[in-house]
Amino acid sequence: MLINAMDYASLNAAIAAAEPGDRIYVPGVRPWPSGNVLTKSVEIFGDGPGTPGALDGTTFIADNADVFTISSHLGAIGSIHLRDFKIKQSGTLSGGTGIKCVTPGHSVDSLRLERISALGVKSDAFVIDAAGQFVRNLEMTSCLAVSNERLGLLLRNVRLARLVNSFFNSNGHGGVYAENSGVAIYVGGMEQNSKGALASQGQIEVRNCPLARLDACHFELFAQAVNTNRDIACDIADGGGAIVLGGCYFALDNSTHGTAIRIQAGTKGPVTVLCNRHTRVTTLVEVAANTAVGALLPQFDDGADGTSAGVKGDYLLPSPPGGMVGCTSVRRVGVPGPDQLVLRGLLVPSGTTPPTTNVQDGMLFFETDQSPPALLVRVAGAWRRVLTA
Amino acid sequence: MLINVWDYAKFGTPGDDPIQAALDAALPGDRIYIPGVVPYTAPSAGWLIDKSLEVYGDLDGSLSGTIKGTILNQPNSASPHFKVLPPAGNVHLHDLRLHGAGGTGAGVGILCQSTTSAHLEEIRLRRLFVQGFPSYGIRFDGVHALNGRIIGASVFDCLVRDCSGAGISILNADSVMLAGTSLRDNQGSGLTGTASGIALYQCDLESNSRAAGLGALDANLKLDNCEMARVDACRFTGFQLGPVKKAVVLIGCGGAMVDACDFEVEPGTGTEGIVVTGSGAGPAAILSNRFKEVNVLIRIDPGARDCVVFPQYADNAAGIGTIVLPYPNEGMYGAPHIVRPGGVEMSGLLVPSSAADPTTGLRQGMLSYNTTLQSLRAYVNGTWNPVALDP
Repeated sequence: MLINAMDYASLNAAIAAAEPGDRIYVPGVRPWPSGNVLTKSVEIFGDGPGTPGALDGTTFIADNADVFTISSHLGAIGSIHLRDFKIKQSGTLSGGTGIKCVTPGHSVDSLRLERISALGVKSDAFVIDAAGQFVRNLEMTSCLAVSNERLGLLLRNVRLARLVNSFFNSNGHGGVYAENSGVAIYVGGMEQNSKGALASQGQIEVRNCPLARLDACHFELFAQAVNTNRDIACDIADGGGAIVLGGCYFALDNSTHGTAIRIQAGTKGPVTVLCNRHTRVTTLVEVAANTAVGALLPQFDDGADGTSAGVKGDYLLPSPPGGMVGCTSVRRVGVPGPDQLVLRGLLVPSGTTPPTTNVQDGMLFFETDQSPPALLVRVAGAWRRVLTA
Repeated sequence: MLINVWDYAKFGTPGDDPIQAALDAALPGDRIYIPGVVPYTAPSAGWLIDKSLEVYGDLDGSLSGTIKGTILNQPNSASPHFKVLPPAGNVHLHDLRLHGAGGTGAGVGILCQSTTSAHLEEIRLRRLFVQGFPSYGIRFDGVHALNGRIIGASVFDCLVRDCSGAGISILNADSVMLAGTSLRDNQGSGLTGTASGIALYQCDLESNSRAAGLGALDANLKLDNCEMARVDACRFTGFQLGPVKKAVVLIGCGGAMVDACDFEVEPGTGTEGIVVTGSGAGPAAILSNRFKEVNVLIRIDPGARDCVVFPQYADNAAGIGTIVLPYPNEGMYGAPHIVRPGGVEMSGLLVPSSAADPTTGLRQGMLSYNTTLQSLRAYVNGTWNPVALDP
């Protein structure tokens, strides 16, 4: 059933009156306050997010309380759908999160956020923190988190989180932080996050996630952090899982530093880095020593801006690269002089001793602990040295 | 035009069905709203959609056992609940709960069926809860004919569970996309696709393939001879239940890719994560994935060709989780390392191997392993030469 929130004293009163499954329409005739609590399956929708700086569309004012708190403390929630509104700071009051979902005691099966803008919130814009029971499915489509004081989006213990066409710009502590979640971001954008003095994240930080997928995402101006150690577009840390990045674009202005993809020490991986494009990025892909194995493919580096000396980006890999396979060639255009193809050979897995598992004849391996080190090929069940002299 | 089915209710008239009356009265392009104020029961032949329509109800309102929203009940186990037939196109169903009659029978939740001469296109299903149908939950039933295929279907944010057949069955359909959809506890496969182009993004397949009489390849996700097969960032759990114990099976698929998926089961025996099989299967790219307590992470059978296998993560101690590859590998490339919490089971670089030197498409510098000669070969100056080894 369709409920008009204007027929009630407050949105909370409309929510209290709604049966699970109902739709609540929040007209954009006036600003709406924060402190709205959801404990049941409903759809809440407005007239659209309207203009960023104005009170048009359906606008909620972020003040001292969270604008929306979704809590499963009363029971498992099947489906919540929030769409077509804006959350905007009050200007004076400090306070709560834009939308927060917590799961004390019960699960949330499906949470969908569509066409929601969170602008200038004095805390995190979106927080899905399933520290209690799980959130099974989160879908976030065409949402914006811009100029919020802390994170654009925090995900914790979400089984499957799918972000499509959502953008995170100029958020003080970072764009997206995902921990212990299955996260996939398709055609997302992140720009100028992590600029605050207390910035703790990069544009996106993926920590201990069982699966992570970044596809066709756009990262821009990610080297403006106060702490240059955070000048990172995509930061991958801890644990093991499947992380695949490809078809992304990483662009900087005239900065002299900046890392597009960093795989931190201790990350077990495997990480697969498919082909991406970079503009004026110093380090295209950085893999810490004694860390992830994975597959690396060639990158495209659009290095110069036409006026400066240009930035020649490159891979930064440990030596030896361990279990890495692939090819780390870089094609550079726009650098002073002719285009360059930094051609590299085929990356062969390397280690101190030849493998004994998952092997078959014909495999190649580079043994580092011999003097001199040797390229090996497995023939008739034994590893043989390739003659190179 | 927006139509409310209650405007078509003839109160007190036996046999009256306001939903079919609204479907019949609507013009192509209309919207039909089914308010969730009472449960509805389909007519014995099901509801027929044969024009371009949007049909929607109130949100799935389940909350700790309380079932609310727009509920559509199946009257018997024999008939489809919704039947979408040509010349329908651009059909959009959303925010409905479809409750099956249970048991077994021919009754499908949603049957989209083309004919030899009339295709169906643009079927969009969103936020549907489909439960307990005697056959498939959702069936796209295209015809292998020039004008008979289903073209463009999408299933987003749906839950299909407890059906006696597969959760979703797709036959002769092109450009089918599923995202954020859960397939749970179905007796048949979670999803089975044949001769179709199918891509799954962030779907959740859990505890399907439960019936005792299933074939050995009726996995939670079974893609058979599909011209496009893409499985991206999906989650597979509970596939140790039932007789099949397989998460993903790609049979004879050319151009398949599986990446960033998570496979988790309870400890046991006989479980397999990804199986590539069938004569002529491949190329199939298996990028990085995560497994927990899965006995065989990846199995690629002899006959599959040109597969790519990248390193995998097994979130358990050594001894659980293997990768089984054919030998000769017929065009394989990659490195089947297994990363574990305690370290890496390193592998070597897979070089394409076959019983004879390749003869077509050759370029200088190529490497191949000749299993007959037991020799690594390099293509230099127009011939295959053995790579010299330390005696």
